[in-house]
Amino acid sequence: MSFLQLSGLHRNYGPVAAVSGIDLLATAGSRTAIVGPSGCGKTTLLRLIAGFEPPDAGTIELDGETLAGPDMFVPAYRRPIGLVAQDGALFPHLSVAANISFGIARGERDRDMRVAELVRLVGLDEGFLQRRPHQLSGGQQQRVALARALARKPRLMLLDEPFSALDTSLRAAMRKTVAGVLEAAGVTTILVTHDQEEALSFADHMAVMRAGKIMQAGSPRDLYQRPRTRMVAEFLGEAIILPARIADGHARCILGAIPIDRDQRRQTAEILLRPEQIGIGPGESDGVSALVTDSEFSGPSCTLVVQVANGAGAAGTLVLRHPSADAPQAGTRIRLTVSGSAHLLE
Amino acid sequence: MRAATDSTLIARPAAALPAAAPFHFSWIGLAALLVTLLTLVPLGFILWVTLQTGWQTALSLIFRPRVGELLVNTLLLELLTVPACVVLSVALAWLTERSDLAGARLWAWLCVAPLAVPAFIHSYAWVTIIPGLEGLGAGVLVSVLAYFPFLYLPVSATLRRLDPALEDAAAALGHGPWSVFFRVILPQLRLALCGGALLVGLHLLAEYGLFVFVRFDTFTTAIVDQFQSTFNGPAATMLAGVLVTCCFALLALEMLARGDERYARVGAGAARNPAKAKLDRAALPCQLMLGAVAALSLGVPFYTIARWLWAGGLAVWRMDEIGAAFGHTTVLALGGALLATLAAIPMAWLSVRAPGRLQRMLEGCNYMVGSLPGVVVALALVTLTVRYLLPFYQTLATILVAYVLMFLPRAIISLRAPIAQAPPELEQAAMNLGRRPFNALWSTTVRLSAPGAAAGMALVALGILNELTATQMLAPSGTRTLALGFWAHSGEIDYAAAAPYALIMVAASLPLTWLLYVQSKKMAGQ
Repeated sequence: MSFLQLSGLHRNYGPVAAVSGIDLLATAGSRTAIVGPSGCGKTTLLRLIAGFEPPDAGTIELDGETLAGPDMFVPAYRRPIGLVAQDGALFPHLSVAANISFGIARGERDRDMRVAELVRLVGLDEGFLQRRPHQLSGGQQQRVALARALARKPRLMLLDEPFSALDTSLRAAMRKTVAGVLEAAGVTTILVTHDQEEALSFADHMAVMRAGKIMQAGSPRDLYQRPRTRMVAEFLGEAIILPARIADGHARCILGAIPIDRDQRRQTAEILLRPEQIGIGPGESDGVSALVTDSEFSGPSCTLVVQVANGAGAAGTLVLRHPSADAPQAGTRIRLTVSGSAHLLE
Repeated sequence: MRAATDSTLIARPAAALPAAAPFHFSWIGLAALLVTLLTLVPLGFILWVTLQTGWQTALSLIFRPRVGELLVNTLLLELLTVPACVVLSVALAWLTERSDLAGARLWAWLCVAPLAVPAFIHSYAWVTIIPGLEGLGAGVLVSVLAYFPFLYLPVSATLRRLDPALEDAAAALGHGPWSVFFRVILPQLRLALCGGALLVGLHLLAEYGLFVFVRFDTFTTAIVDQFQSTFNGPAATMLAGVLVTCCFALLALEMLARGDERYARVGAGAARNPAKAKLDRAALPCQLMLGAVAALSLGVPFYTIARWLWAGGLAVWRMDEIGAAFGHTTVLALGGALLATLAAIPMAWLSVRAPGRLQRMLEGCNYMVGSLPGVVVALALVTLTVRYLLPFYQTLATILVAYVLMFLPRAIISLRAPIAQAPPELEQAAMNLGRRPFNALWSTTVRLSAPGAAAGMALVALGILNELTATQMLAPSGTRTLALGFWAHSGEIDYAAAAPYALIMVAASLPLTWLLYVQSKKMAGQ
C-alpha cells in the first residue's frame, strides 16, 4: 500500500524543466532515497512535496489525501510534512529550546516536557536547551533541526542532504542516529542526496534521478547489482563495463566466458561487473592472464591498471582496486578470476 | 639599520602578534587618539560651561516650563514619526524586495530618492502647497516623508539577503505566511530597524530648517533662536545640554533594543535567492500605495520647485549670486569631505587591523559625537574661538573642523569595508621592501581603499551640501552657500527666488543618493 504517491509531476523554471513527469511511490514507514547528480531536479522535487512550490502538472497524494493536483494546492504550513534542510536552517535569533518548540502550538500542555524529550531523543542533553545555534557544532545543529522537525509529529519527513555539511567521520554516525530515530518514530522518510553511498546505506528504496526524470527505482541492492543503464551503473559505484558476445547463457568478453544474470536474445551487449567481483591471483594460477601496468598507492587500497590480453586476440585495459597489503607492483603478471554473474545493460 | 633595530626592539615584547602590529599602533593609534580628543571638544565644552555657570543657575535654566514644553514636543515628535517610518519602510521594502510587484527596481529607487531632497526643502514645498500647515502634525508628516528612506535602505538590504531556508523551515513547522512574517522575518530585521530608527531619531533632534517652516519648536530651533538673540549665553548651552542628553538617551535605547542576539546565518554554504510572493489581486492597491508615497515624497517637492521657477521666470536666476553660492558650497563640501576622510583613516584602520579595547573606546567616542546635532557642535566652536582663539572665529578652518566633527562617522564607515578587504600581507610586503610603516600603509591599503574613500567623501559632501545650522553660525561672514542662499530668500518669503537654489541642491544630491542606493545593493551582494 502506498503512503506517498507522486504521479506525473512537472515543474518548469522558464524554459528549463526541473522536474518532468515524475512518478514515485513510497510505502508507510519506508525510507526512500532520491539520488542524482547536482542539478538533476531532486531538490525541486523535494520542494514540491514539501509544498513550497506548486507543481505545473501532476498530483501529490499523502495517505489518500490529495496535497496538490489540478485546481488544488495545500500550502506547506498545512501539510503534515517535516523538513531537515542541508545546514539545519536553525533560527539564529532563538535558543535551541525555542527552535524545537517553534512548531508546537503555544497553548499546548507539556510543551517543555516534549522539548526535553525530543532533545534527548536526538542524543543531546538538556544542557543544550538554553544555547544558541551558533554555539553548536554542525552535527549538533543537525540533531536540533531533526528534533524541531519531529516536534510537530509529521507523517512524512523530508531530509534535504542533511549530512553533506558534516565531516566524513561524523556523517556515518549521524546517518545511523537519524535512521534510528525516524524508525523508532515510525515516520516515512524521503532523503535527497547526491552521495550514492549515503543513499545505498540509508534507504530501503531508492530512485536515481537525472535531468528531471527518474531513471530507475528499486531496492538499493537491486539498483546496485542490476542497473538498467550505464548512467545508473556508473553513478552508484565503480563499474567495469565491457563489450561482450552473448551465447548459451554466457557473456564472452576479454575476461573469458561469464554466466549472465538474465536470458537475452541479443547477440552482443554491454555487461557490468563490479570491481569487487574480480579476484587477483599469482601469474601461475587459473584465470585470464594480465599485466599490471600501473599501481597507485592510496592508503588502504591500491588502484591498479591492468592490461588484459587473452589468447583470442581481444585486448583491453581495466582499472581495479586491490587491498594495498598484497597489491602487485607494476610489471607483475597476474591472473584475473570473476565471481558471480555478469549483468547485461540495456 | 636603525629602523630595523627599532622595530625589532618594539616587536619583541609582543612576539605572538604579527611583527608589524605594535610598530604601526604607536603612530596610527596616536593619530586616532588625537582625532578622538578633538571630537570630544563639544561635549567637554558643555560640561565646562555647566561647571562655570554654577549648579544653581544651571538647574534653574534647565528646570523651567519652556524646557518642559520642548521636551514634550520632542517626545511626541519622536514617538509619532519613528513608528510611522518603521511601518512605512517595512511595507515598502517588503513590496519592492519580496513580492512580484511590477517595476520593483524603479520603485526601489524611488523609495531612496527622497533623500536627495533636503528636509527643509520638503517642508518648503509643503508650506507652499498648504500655506496653513504648521505644528506637530505638519512636523510629523514632513519628517516621515523626508526621513523614511533612512529605514527603507537597511531594511530592504536585509530583506534581500535573508536566508529563505528559515522561512521554509517555519512553513514546514506549520506556520502560515503572517506567522512566518512576524516570528521569523521581523525578528531578523531587528538590527536594521534599530539602526535606521536611531538615524531617523537623531535627525529629528538635529533638524532645524524643516521645523522652522512648519512653526514647530524643538530644542534645535530653540537653541538657534536663543543664539540669535543672546549670542552664546549659558541659556543656549544648557538647552544644548538637554539636547545632548536626549541624543544619548536615544543611543542607549537603541543599544537596549538591539540586544545581543545573533542574526547571522548559521551554517555553511550560500543562501538560495528568496522566492517572490504573488500579489495577485492586491497588486493594483500596492502600486497605488507606492505611487502615493512617491507623489508625496518626490512629486510635491519637484512640483513646488517647478511651480516657483515658472512663476519667477528668468528674473530669479541671478547668476552672479547663484554662481558665488555654488562656488562657496563646492569649496566647503570638497574641503570638508577631504579633511573628514583623512581624519577617518587612522580610526578606520585601527578598527579593522588592531581591534581592541582602546580602539572600541575611541570608536564609541567618535560615534557618540557624530550623533550630536550640528547646532551643539557649532555652539561649542563659537564659544571656544571667541574666548580663546579669536583669530579663528568665523574662519574657513573652524567651519571645516565643525564638518569633520559632524560627519566623521560617515567617512569611517565607508573606509572600513575596503580596508578590511585589503590583505594585511600587502602592508608587510611593502615594509619588507624597505618602505617606512606610514609609507607602506599609504602605498598599499590606503591606495586600495580609494573607492571606499571616494564613497565616504561623497556622503560627507552630501551632508555639507544640505547643512544649514552650523554653517550659519560658523562660516566666515560673507559666506553664502546654496543652503544659506535658499534660507535667506525663503526667510524673506521670496519663495520664487529660493527655488533655483533648491533645484541646484536637489540636482547635486541626486547622483550622491544614487551612490547610496548602489552601495546598499552591493552590501547585499548584488
